[in-house]
Amino acid sequence: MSILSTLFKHSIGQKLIMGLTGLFLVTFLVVHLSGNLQLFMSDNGVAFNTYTKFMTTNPLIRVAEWILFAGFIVHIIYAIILTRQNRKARPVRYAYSNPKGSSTWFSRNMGVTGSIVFIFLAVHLYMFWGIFHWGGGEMTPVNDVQKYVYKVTDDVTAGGNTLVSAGDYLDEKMVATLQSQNVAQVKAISMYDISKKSFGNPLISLFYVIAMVLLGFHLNHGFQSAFRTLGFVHEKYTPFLTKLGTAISVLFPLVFAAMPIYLYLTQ
Amino acid sequence: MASNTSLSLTLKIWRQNGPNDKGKIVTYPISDISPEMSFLEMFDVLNDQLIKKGEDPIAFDHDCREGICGACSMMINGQAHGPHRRTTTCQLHMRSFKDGDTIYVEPWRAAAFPVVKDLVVDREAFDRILQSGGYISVNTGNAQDANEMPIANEIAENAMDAAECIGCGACVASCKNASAMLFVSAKASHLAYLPQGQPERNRRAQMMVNQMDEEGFGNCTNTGACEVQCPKGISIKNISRMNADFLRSTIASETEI
Repeated sequence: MSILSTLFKHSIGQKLIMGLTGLFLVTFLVVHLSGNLQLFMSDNGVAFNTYTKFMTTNPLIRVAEWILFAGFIVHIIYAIILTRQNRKARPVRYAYSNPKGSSTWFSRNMGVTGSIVFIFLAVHLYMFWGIFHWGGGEMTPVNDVQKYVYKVTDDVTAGGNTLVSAGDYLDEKMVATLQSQNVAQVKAISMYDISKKSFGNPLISLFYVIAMVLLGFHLNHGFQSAFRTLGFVHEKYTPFLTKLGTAISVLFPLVFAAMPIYLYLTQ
Repeated sequence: MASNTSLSLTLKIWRQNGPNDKGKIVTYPISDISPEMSFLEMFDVLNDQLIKKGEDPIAFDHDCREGICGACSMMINGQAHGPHRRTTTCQLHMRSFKDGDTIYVEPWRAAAFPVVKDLVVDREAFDRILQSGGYISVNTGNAQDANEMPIANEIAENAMDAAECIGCGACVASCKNASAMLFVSAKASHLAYLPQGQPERNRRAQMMVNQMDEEGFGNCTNTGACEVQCPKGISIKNISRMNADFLRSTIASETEI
C-alpha cells in the first residue's frame, strides 16, 4: 500500500503514471497501425473487414479494449491533475515571456497537442466505433455480406424464428438457412464501407491529416520524455531513444494519414 | 569613455513594495550606461539616481558578483540571468545590449519563491529541501587517507558537474511549470554518485522529493529549459537519475521511508 500511496502522492509517481500510460498508448498505436494496413489491400475490404471481425469478436481483444480505454482515461486525468498543479506553482506569470531558445515547441505544448488529439479521438471513435456498433446497416445481398465479411445489423426473422441476429457475421450455415428461406438481402454494415464513405469527404480526410500531424508533435516529445521520467537516461541510449521517438512521431502519423488520403484518392 | 559608445536604455522593472503588495512593471529610462558595466552595476547607477530623487531604490539580490554565490536572480527579457548561456546576472555585461533597447527585469516567478520586495524572492524553500536530505552523515575525527576510497574519474567528474549547482533558482524561474527538479536532482546526484553518499541514498531521494512537493513547486515535463538557462549548465540527466533513485527506493527499499 505504501508503494501505491507514494506513487499517487508524489510528483514523480504521478508523472510515472503519465509516462507508463503514454508508452502503453504507443503500443496501442503499433497494433492499430499494423492492423489498419489491411486498408491498403486491393480486395474491396475483405482483409480489413476480416480484421474488424477479429477485433470485435475476440474475447481477449474485448478485454484489451477496456484496458486501453482505462489507459486513455488515466493518462488524461493525470494530465489534468499535473497541469493544475503546475499552474498553481506559478500564480503570477512573466510580463515578458521568451521560451523559444531554451525548449522545443513540442515540449511546451503537450497540453495543446494532447487536447486536439483527444478531440480527434472522440470524433474518430464516433465515426467508426460508434457507427459500426450503433449505426443502421444497408440492404446488402447475402452473398456479398458473407464474401466481404459484413456485420448484420438487424435481426432477420422468418415464421417466428430468428435466422440471424444483429451483430452476427454470416457463416456458410447461416447463408444456407437464409437462402432456404429465400432471403436475398439483409441489413449489414462493414468497417471498410464506413471508411470509404467517411474519407470520401475531403474535409474529414483533411481533419484526420491535421490530427495526425498533432499526434506526431505529441509523440515527438512524449516518447523520450516518458523514458526520462522512468529514470532511463544514459549517454549511450538516450540519443537513440530520442531519435526513435522522432522516427515514431514521423512514421506513425505518416502511415495513418496515408489511409484517409489513399481512400479519398481511390474513389 | 566616449559618449557615442554609451547606452541609453528603457528599463521595465517589476516593483513590489512587499509580499502582500500587488506590484507592477515600472518604466525607467536610463542613459550614459557604459558597455563595460555589469548588469548589476547598471542597477547600482539607477538606484543612485532614484535615491538622489528621493525615491525608493530597487531591491535586488546580489553577493559575490563573481558568478559563484547564486544570490543574483533576475529574469531579463524572459531569460533567467539574461541572454547569455552559462552566465549569472552579475557576470552579464551591458555590451550584450544595444543602444535604445527595452529590457524587462522581473523576479523569479514561482509560488514557492514568494516576492520579498521588488526583484528579491525568498528562496528558503531550497534550504528546506537541502535540510531534508541533501547531506551525508560522517563521523568526526581524523580525515581519511585521500586514496583510501577509489573513485573512477568519470564518476568523480559527474559528481563535480552536479555539485556545480549554486542554488540560484534559475531552473525554477525558467521552467514553464516552476519545477525545482534540476536543483533537487543536482543536490541529490552529487552525493548519490559518490561512495560517501550511498548509505543515505534511498532516504535522500525520498526526503528531498517529498520536501520539494511540499514546497509547492511544479512537475517536471522534461522540456529541458532549465538545463539551457542554468548558469552552471547542470545536465537534466540528473533529473532522470533522481527519478530512478526515487522510484527504486519507493518500490524496492528495504526500510519503509
